[in-house]
Amino acid sequence: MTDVSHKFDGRTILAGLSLTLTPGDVMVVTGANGAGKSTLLRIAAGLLKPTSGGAERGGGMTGYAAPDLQPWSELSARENLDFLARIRGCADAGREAIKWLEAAGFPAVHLPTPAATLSTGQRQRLKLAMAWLGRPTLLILDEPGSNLDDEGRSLVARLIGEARCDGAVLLATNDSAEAALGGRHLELRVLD
Amino acid sequence: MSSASWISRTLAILAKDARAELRTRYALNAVLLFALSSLVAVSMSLAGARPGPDMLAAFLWILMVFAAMAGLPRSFVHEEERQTSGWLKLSASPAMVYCGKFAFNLLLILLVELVTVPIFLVLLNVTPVHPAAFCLAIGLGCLGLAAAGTLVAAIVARTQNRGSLFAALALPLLLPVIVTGTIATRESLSPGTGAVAWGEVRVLLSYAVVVFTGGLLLFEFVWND
Repeated sequence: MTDVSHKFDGRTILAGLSLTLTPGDVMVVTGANGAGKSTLLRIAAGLLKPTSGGAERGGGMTGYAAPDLQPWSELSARENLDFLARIRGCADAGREAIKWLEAAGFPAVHLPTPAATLSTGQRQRLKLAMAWLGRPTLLILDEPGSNLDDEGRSLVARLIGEARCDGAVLLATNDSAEAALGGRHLELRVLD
Repeated sequence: MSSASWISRTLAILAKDARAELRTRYALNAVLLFALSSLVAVSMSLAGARPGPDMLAAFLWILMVFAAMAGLPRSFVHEEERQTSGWLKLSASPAMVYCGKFAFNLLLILLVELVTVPIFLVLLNVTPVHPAAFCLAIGLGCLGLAAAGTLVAAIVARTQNRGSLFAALALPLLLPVIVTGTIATRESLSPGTGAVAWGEVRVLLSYAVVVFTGGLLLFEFVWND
């Protein structure tokens, strides 16, 4: 990410930010509400075009879990994972993600009920599994521990541990335990 | 990526949309209800009168276009409203998404026409003189409506006044298919050689191919912007 600036409604959110992630990196982004953490993550994922500057993601797959991204509510947890696996071109990854969710204490992955009926915490776990499906080379997590119990939070720690073996992790959080998982830290400040 | 893999991933998007639609009937109910209630209202207001082929063709195409306008924007609007479009952006190429959504929209319109056109023929006591040209005009019209509607739906999905904006943007783009389709349908219902109808059918096919190709090329900019 090189010299990235972003304005929204005339307000500067990010100004001249540059950062590089290499395999094995876990970068934690912290900052007050409105400091631009989620904006930075959306730009890094390629879901938002910055006002100036640019972000390159190499050739691998990007996994992204954030509050503004939800599973398809009409599909079951398993169908969500299967569909993502198919469009990512990794049929085995769906089965792998289901095994991973089972091991993570989420047997509801096999229920035929739509994702809309899952609890907020279960949906968060499903989103983490969807982001990690196919072992992306860049995993971007925005407040991954929100709505999760202690077991769920340990799942986040495991996920980050596994993801750093395959690539880099960019994590936005204000939770000190989650922040401690990072090797590099970036603190954003509210500019305007 | 092999073409088999590309097609399989595109079909996965179609299957996902079809599965979600079958469970919610989000678009299907709205479109079918509009089409059927319009048909019944017109057939009752005619009170036994026999309108000519020009009036019948115009009515059928008004029905098709407005039914399409009620259903087509849903494919992308639904993804934006439910905050799911990000998964598609991160996981599939824009061309796959456009083709998958186009296939779903085409399936939706064809399904609606499969129900409403026979009812139209029965209620208004219409017998096409050139049935092959009539069916092709409807089928290729659906193809054009789906191609143009898919692109416009993607454009309006992230805007505020989606409904009115969709109609305002889609109508000029659909004008050629409406005019040509109406003429082709009128001629297929009229006695004669049907030469005019077949000529218009060729125009409908060309329109569908051009708009689909244009949509495929432009979609990446709309989708990633």
